[in-house]
Amino acid sequence: MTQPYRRPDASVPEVPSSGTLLPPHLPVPWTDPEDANRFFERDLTHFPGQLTTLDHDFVNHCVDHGMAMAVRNLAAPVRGEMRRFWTRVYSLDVFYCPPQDLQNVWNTTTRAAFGPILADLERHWQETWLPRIRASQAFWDDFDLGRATDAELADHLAESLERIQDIWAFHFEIVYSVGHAWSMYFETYNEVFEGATRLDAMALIEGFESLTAAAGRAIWRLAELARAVPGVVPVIMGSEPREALARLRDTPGADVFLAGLDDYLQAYGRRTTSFSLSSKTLAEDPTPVLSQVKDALANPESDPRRHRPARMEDRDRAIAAARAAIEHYPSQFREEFEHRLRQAQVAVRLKEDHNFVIDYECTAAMRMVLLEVARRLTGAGYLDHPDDMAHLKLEELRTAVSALASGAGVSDLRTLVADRAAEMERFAGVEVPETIGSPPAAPAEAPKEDDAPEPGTFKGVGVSPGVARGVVRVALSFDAASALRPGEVLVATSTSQPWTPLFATAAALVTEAGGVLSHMGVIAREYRLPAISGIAKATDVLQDGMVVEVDGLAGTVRVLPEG
Amino acid sequence: MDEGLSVNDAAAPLVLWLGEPACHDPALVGGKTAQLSRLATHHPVPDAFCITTLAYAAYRQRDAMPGEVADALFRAYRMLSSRDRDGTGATDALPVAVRSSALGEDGVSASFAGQHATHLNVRDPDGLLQAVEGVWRSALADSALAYRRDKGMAAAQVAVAVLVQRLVACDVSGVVFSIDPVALDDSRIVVSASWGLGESLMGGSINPDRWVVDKESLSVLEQTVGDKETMTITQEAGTREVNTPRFLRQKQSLTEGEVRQVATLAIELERTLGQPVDVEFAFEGGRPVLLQCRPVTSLDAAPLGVRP
Repeated sequence: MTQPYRRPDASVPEVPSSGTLLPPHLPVPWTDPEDANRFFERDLTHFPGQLTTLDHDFVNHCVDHGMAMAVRNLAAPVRGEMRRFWTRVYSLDVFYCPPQDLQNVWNTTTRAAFGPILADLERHWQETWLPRIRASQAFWDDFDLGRATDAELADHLAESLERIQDIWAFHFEIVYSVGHAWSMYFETYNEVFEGATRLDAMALIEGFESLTAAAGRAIWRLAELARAVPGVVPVIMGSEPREALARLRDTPGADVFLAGLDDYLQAYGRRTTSFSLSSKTLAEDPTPVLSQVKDALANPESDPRRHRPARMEDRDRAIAAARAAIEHYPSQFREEFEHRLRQAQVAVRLKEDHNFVIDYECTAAMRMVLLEVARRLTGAGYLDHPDDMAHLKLEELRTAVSALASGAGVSDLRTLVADRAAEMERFAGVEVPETIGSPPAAPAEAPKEDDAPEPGTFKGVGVSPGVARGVVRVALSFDAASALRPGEVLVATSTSQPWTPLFATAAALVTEAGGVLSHMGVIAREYRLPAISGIAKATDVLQDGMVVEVDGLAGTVRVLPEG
Repeated sequence: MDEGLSVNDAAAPLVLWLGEPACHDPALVGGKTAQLSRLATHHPVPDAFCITTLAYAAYRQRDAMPGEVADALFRAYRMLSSRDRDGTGATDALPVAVRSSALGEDGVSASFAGQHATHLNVRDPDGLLQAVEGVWRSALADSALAYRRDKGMAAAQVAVAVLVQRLVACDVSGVVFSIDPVALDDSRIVVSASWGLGESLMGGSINPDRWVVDKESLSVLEQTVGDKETMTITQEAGTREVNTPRFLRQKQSLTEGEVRQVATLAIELERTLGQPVDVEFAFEGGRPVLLQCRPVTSLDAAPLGVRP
């Protein structure tokens, strides 16, 4: 196997202690003294908050492994190690080439290794990735967790852990393919259309079907079902989403809506609302669905189905204009442009669909397996509550259920759970730095003074055009985001797929992490929602109740004087 | 100027078509057209007609475009357009290339490549009229006259015909020498090619792809991928030079098979003319089309023979 790159230059200062880059109010986190010489950065896009022991272990099991496979099989020049300090996840980059060559290696050697996949992304998805993921989902669906013996469950867990690793190897094949497909397309687009923005280029590749978009539209169909029978809408509108389901069960005529809800949950409900094993699936707890239906009822003009034809027309116009502009280029170029355009279009969908299927559906399947293990351990008296599994590692759970099956003694889990739960609590309100360790030799880019915004204005990256005003609603988690009311400006660290229906409710979206190519950008444009990402500490500097104006093209948020 | 010919003389044509015997006469159509006309019967040459030196003489006499020349030009253009459409009667104006073909130009002893203006992708009668006049005027331009003086020709002798050629809508164009023009090695064929129309390459503003082919075996001895920094492509009317997209810059503009086709064309033309040739070609419909063919001229202006 390829050896990681090591800094050859002995003159690069080795930072001997953790002194300068560690905050004084926190204990030194290193388990390996070498760590002080490494550079760790928080991954706010994927892990904005605290992570439990189980989730961190799951991240190592899936994400770290998947990236390592890409290094081994597809010449990726870098992989990440997700390390947990003070209950937060930091990413460490491990290079397989000198860091300054990264872009070049990525664009040549790695791209060449991805060549067969990039020749036809759609086909690779349909014929390789998706069938193998679906086969594992069938494996999980077909297994009767409740009836399995402890021994069968132990075996099932072991196989599940292997399968999820294979799936995460696909995950990074897909993510990296998407990245290559986009960069190849943008490179070609920018050469022909000088001065074009990233959004101009995106206009040609958006508005296609995806599982996320389909799930979003299904919420609006549920809202229609609710409207079809008198008496249902008042119950939904008049209840807290948490209580709506129980009340609907007592509402005459609501059965059509409830049947529709079941269909929805059957089709889209077996997914978690974040990449976390502690996250309940929508089928377990449909509260977010009812909350979204409520918003859809309150906000009929935001129906994404109404925007879709216009979106598609915009896209087709943009494609036609691009084709006209290259009409006189050599046919070899036009063919390559069409090819890259097509791959980039497929990539937009794969970006959504792989998240939907892998990050949420497969995580949900793993959650169900582990939850059953935790239930057995609880039943046998080794845990107080199945949810305590959050504080255990995968291997600890696997060993415990095997021990349960063989009748051997299960080691003490309660102490582990108590210690780790206490750790979560201890660091819950503690602010942690975004980077720690020894930064790379090249200094980070100095902030540009010349485009410093006016006071009261915050500058980020515009990811979805449009101007909107509204009252700020800061949401640090998906659950908190359900408090969003129509017309409010949603402010978050980052957003993930399950937040999608909220895009129909918000007047605008502001995040700390994301980007034009992120899920957030793609979906925000789909919903014609003005959106900005890359505003540092947005969830701090913008506060509930502030009135702001968001300009999604300029990338600015302006705090307006109240009243 | 005064050679006793009237523009209305039936025996003094204003327009001649490539391939007809009178079109082989350099005095009427210039060296380039005469050469193409002779080659047109056996080699792939785009359909074309020529505004003769007699029309030019009339223009010089009146210092304006003579009405009968304009009429003849429009008639010929309509015919060229309809010929290209296999007699389907379509009246759409055909895109054409308008090139100078001067007397003395492209002759055995002097090469005037690029000396007079070329107008590509002219696609309406008015534009054509302007392009023809443009070629005439440029023939009178100082630089061209100076060139002729250096070659020992007096300005008064300049007579310019104008070649109006169906525009070859090509993805790739280039130049092939049937000998190595630098080393004067006649066992080697040298092919240069680049994306788009030939203007960027002929203008010398870019590094084209280059192949050296063994004349005997047709095997490729050397190949160099050039930067091909820019390319000339057609637009609504006329052409424009654009930066060549990176994908095309990194890609060879001809396949090895296509290089051999070009080399074969050069060998055939060399055989026909009995001396080494310098050929401008464009790839159309999977085969090389001959745009211009000149004997190779060397620095001392002596024609080069072919080794028996």
